[in-house]
Amino acid sequence: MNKNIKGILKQAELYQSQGLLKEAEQQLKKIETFIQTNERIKNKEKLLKAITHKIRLLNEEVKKFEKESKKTETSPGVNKIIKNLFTTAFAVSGDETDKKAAQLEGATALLKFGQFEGALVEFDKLLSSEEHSVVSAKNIIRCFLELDKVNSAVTRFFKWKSESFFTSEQLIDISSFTENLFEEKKLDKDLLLSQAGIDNINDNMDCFEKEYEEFIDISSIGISFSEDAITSEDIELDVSFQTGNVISIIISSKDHQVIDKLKVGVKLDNVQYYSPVAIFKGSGTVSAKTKIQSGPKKGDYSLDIKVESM
Amino acid sequence: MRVSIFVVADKSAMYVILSVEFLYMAVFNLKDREIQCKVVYYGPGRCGKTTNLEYVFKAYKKQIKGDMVSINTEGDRTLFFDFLPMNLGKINGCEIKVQLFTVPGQVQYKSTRKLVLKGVDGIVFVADSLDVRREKNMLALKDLQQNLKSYDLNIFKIPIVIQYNKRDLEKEGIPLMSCEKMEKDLNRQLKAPSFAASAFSGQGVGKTLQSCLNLTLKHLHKQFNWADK
Repeated sequence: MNKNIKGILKQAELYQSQGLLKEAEQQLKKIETFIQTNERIKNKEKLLKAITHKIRLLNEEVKKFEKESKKTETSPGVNKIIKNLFTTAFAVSGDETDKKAAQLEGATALLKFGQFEGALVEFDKLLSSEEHSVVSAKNIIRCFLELDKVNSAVTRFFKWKSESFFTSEQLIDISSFTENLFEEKKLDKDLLLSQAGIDNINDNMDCFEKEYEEFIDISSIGISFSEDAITSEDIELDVSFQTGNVISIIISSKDHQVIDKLKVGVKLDNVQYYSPVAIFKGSGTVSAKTKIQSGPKKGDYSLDIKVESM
Repeated sequence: MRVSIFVVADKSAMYVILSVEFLYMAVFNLKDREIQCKVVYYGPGRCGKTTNLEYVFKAYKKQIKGDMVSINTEGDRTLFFDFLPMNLGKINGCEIKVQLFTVPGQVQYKSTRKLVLKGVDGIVFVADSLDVRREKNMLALKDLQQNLKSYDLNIFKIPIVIQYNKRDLEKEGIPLMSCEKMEKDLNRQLKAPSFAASAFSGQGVGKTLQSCLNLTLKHLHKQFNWADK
């Protein structure tokens, strides 16, 4: 009988030494039941006390393990290793676009490994990259929420909005992503918005949606670069995409002069907006200019023009 | 099966990244004739994946080209992964570099396992021989199959070997499953090469890795004919 108990105890100790805590506990409980139900065992009470003590210590270890298994922030050195190991070899080309893509991959890896503070720093760096700004913004919001810094997420979103950091279309995209995250995490967005001193996210978004719905479709535009009828240079461009009062046009990489003239922030006072039903004369502002990085239009420029009046 | 080849030009070298469904992701450096592939040790928690890597780190010093990286919790459990870079030297005129990874075995780290598995070229499935871990082995194999499937990879097609670890405990009188029983449980359909081992003493560790590397390199050669390039 003693041999049997000793055998099971040996197993329990070995499982415990291997970190198999639940298995060790099962073995100890087997011994406990065996002692309780067997009248012939000498020193029964003493043995039971010893086994109960062992089980209690084991449970403490299990609790400690469960506690430390939750969120763990690693050192900057480990974060660097994660970024290096989980970034594809595209980074080797040395091209600036690839470097940014690799940075984004590294930041995403940190996020996936639950290193939210580290990921936040990396995504912040990528905000200035035109190609990755929206995805970085979304992940910044995600990191704040994962870190239980909900107010920081809300404040940051409205900072971007007030600074016109993103276009209306991009803000709608980020806002809808944020709302979904709020829902996923069962957060009361209205309460949080009021805490952050913001009336209502829906009201704020409504104004974009209104712009969206009420604006007339524009199929192409004509731009005159001078008001002087004799010296004016006119160009006509097709609209590739429209969201509310923002239209996107593509300019060929060969049109150097046009590309140079249409810098972000330039006001265009003499624009013809061609809709399927009529031509409107009005004005606009260049709100974004992006070089297309891939696909058949690689090297061309995508320009956003915000319609000011028509 | 979709095969994509990316050529990335660089001032100093030219790299070809061969990818099948973007997931077998060995990196070929044409100029230096160098291949880098990824082998992942998979298995249930506490089965001895890290111990395997620690033994490789100690015993194959000549082939190790850097430090072993382990990110553990206080309780010595792998939190994210272990990483060990190896250099096998030249095979058919190609310098072969291998990245060995382990995954965290605990059930709650499924998403981390999936992340580490991305781009895998070969797998060592470490099974725990302890009788009490029978179900955990089967669940871990199922988890591997699901994670591979999420990357459109087939467990029956990817290079994989199975290791029956902790065989040394038999001498201690601890109840172990027989290798035959484990074959039935885990390898009846897979029919992968399998090895009895004790990562603690090192027995069978080298054979397991060698077999996995053989399969992986043969598989990559079959896919991309790298040795003839």
